Amino acid sequence: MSSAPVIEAHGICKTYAGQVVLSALSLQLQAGEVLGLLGVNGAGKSTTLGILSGVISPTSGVLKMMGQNPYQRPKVVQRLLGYLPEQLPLYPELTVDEYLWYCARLRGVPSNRCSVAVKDAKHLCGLSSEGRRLSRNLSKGFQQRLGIAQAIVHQPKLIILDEPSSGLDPEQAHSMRELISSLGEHRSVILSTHLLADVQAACSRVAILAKGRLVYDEPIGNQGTHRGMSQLIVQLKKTVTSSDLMRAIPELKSVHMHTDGWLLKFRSSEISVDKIARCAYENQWGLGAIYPPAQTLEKTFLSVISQDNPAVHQESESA
Amino acid sequence: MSGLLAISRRELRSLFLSPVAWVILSGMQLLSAYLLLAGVERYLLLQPQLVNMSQPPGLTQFLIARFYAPVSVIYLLIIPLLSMRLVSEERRQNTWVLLLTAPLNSIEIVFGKLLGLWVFFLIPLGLNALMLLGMTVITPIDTGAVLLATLGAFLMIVGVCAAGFFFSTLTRQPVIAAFALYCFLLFLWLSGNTTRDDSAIFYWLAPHKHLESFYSGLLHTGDLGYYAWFIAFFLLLSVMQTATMKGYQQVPSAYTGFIKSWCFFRPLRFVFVICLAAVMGYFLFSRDHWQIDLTATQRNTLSEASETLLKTLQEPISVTVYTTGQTAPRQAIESLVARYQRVKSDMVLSFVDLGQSPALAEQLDIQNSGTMAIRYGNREERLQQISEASISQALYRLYRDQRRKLVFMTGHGERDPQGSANFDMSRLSQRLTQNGFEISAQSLVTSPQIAEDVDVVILASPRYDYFPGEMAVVLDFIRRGGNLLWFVEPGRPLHVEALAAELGVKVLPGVVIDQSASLYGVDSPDFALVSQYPAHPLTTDLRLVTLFPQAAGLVIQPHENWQTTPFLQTSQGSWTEVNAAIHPQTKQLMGEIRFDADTEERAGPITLGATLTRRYAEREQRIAVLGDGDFLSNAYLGNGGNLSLAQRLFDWLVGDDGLLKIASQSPADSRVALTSAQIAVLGGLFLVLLPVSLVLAGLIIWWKRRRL
Repeated sequence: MSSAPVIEAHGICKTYAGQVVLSALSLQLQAGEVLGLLGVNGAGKSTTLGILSGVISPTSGVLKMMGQNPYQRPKVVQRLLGYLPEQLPLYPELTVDEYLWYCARLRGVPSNRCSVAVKDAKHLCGLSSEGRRLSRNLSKGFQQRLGIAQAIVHQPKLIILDEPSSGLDPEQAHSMRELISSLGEHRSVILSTHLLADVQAACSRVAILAKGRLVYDEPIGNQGTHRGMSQLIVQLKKTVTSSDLMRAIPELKSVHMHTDGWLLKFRSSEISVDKIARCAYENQWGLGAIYPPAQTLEKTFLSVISQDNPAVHQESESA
Repeated sequence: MSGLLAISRRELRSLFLSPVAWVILSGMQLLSAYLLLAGVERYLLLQPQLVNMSQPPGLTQFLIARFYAPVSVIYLLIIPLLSMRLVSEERRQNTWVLLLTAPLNSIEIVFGKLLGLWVFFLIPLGLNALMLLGMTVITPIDTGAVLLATLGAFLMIVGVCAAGFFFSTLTRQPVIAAFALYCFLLFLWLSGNTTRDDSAIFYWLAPHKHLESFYSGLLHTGDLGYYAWFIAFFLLLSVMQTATMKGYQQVPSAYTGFIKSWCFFRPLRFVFVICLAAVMGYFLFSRDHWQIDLTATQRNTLSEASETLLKTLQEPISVTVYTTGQTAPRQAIESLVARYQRVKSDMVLSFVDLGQSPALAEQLDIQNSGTMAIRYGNREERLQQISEASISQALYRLYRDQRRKLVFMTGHGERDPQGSANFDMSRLSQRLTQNGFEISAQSLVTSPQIAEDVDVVILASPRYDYFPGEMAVVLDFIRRGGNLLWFVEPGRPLHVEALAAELGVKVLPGVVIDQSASLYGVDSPDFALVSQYPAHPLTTDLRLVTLFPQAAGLVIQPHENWQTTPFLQTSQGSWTEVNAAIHPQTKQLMGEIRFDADTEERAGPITLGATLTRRYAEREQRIAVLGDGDFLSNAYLGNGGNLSLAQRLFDWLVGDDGLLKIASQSPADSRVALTSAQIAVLGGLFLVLLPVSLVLAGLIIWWKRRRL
């Protein structure tokens, strides 16, 4: 198998009636990755996923999926792609089996392999005992599972899920997370959500969209080292005031007393630990420890968003 | 392909899983069965009058005109209700995404969705055709005409469904899609009805105007072209419109450019495209065309008889149609005359608008708009009703340099050629007059001379003896080479014994009993049927059954010089019944009816009619003797092929051999004998059983799936 990225998007733009929804979005997804797409409402998550899955055509940009140009060979790409839109595409009058059979046939699964494909998809999504039920009579959680089952029934290489856990209760959301992680074991997945827990539990990488631009794209666990995270926690044995610190380190933007020590925020993102250590030594503050604050995804998200949105900035400051 | 079929299967499945499809199917069945049965009733009611028409419609044609036309309107009302869902509904349910992301191109999506709908409409269409064809069990039906009408209705459905798909792609609101399609169809419908000039573009655009040829049994390339254009155009628009919705699809750049770059209001662009295509289609398909006649009797093609007639006409023919304004269906007349022009190229058609010169109308003494004047040589015939039969008959009358004279003998209780009683023959005379015969009655008592120019003398069942003097006049007429038609009746004296002796005619005692009559639904055993005709120029190509009420059998042993040939013979299952006799007042057959070989009863086949011919003065003298006169009486002329036989008989007698086939053939399904029990069975089946079972099927499916 080639190691070509599953998704390679460069400079994707989309405008609706003169309003820019996506601007110069570039994104890559490697095989086996589970990418979580975060963003506030209206950030352009659904538009991005729509363009990737071939529901919306971009205004401009270059897109390669599975090493192919989907605009030239749409059928090759679409056969390897499963998509769950935000609103579930269910026929209320069909049973689960009928619906999945239809979806499998639609994507070119040969009829003699359909029953196996439907059975596998049901098994994977925990719908094995629901085959003969009408989709309109299913609970919301099962409907959402059926939505995922239709996206994987034809064994795609790439699964695109738009808000798979919206409207689910906590227990359903938990099992949905487990389902998504299990999908990620064999396939590439890109999912959009506003539940950060989903991303933390299921994704190997996180990307954040704000106002149609990709503002953050890192593997899960790398959040602390981000250029935007220009903060350090410093433990000092000697008692100093914040004004002492501000005077001694001119790069500082603000200083707060933290439970573990002083939380230093810098103007620039180029933090020089050496310089702070030297400064502490010269002023004889009794340096105990220097380390970056443990960033949660939530903090990362809010801080990334805040750079574009003053209202969120205020919130995160006061928090 | 598998995706396409998956879409259409899903489409059908969803239709049949909801009660909608079943309600529609059963409602359509109810309506069309009602229309069909009402048509049958009406036909049975009108049947006696239809026989008098020059080209009577058969049951099939009558039903198609009264059944398919309203049914196709019902289809036009139903299609928008179903086609509006095609895309709008999927977009509302968000299932449209499944199609957009599936590895299918827009052609597969459009055809998949439409195929489901087309197959659905095949069901009520098939039921309609089956109802008509199923009636063949009890009465003859013109299968070709039914299939062609079904094809026409299906083409219309295919086209309107395609238009419905296109309108459905334009909006997310199914109601708006349906409303737009209704408006569009209504516009086409009304525009077709604004003008009677069938060469106008608005006339051409109306779909129902192009169904007329299909419904009259004609496969017309112009109308096929119209539907091909209509279907192709809306399929193309649908495919293009679907392509613009696909995220990955590369839309043909001309269309994208057109749709995306034009800056004025979007629906206006579609109006523009539709108008452009309409004009293009009009110029492509409204001009030259040919047609195939698929009816059983070729009722839309110039009959062989007309063709034979045209070939005997040496001089040019001019046809002028006088109109006021634009009221004449020019194209219909042109296509009718074109059939003649194909055989006779020097036949000229012209239209004269009398609205321009009212003085001319007065001068020519033309009262009605649409009058057709046919000129041949220096003579002219005028027609009000324009049909092939009327034109051919007019040409026939023009061709006959002089009218053929028929003289009915009177004064001995014979059948009266002008009398309207059942026994008399006024209906026959009327038809013969139309065919160019001059008919008169003559009593030999008041004018004891038979004129030299009389072509045929008719002895129509005399009931009293001829005086010897009268008999001498008749015999003299025959000895001088005159043609004679003589009807003999069973169970009573001939009253012209000398004539019988002269010709060697013997009448078998008793009435002809025919068992095969019951096969054709005739109750009386004393009705003889002839379905197989002996080889005789008179009956060549006559395929219709003729019916002879209370006939006598004939034996002819002619004297020298005379040749005799039978032309009417009964079947094996017939005999002459002697024991039972006809009651003189009630005309009923009384007594035991049974073949008794020991008596003077004779077993079939029995000769009912024969001709006698001999050479006389360089020509053939012709005499026909028939053992029955009732078959041409007012009461029975309309039965089976009796009228056809009559026209052949007289044409043969006057010597117009080449024109024997000019007699218009009545279609096989113009004889309908349905008992009230049969109609009740049809009604029960079509009007009750089918709709109820359709509703039941829907209810069962709904009930079973409700709890899943």
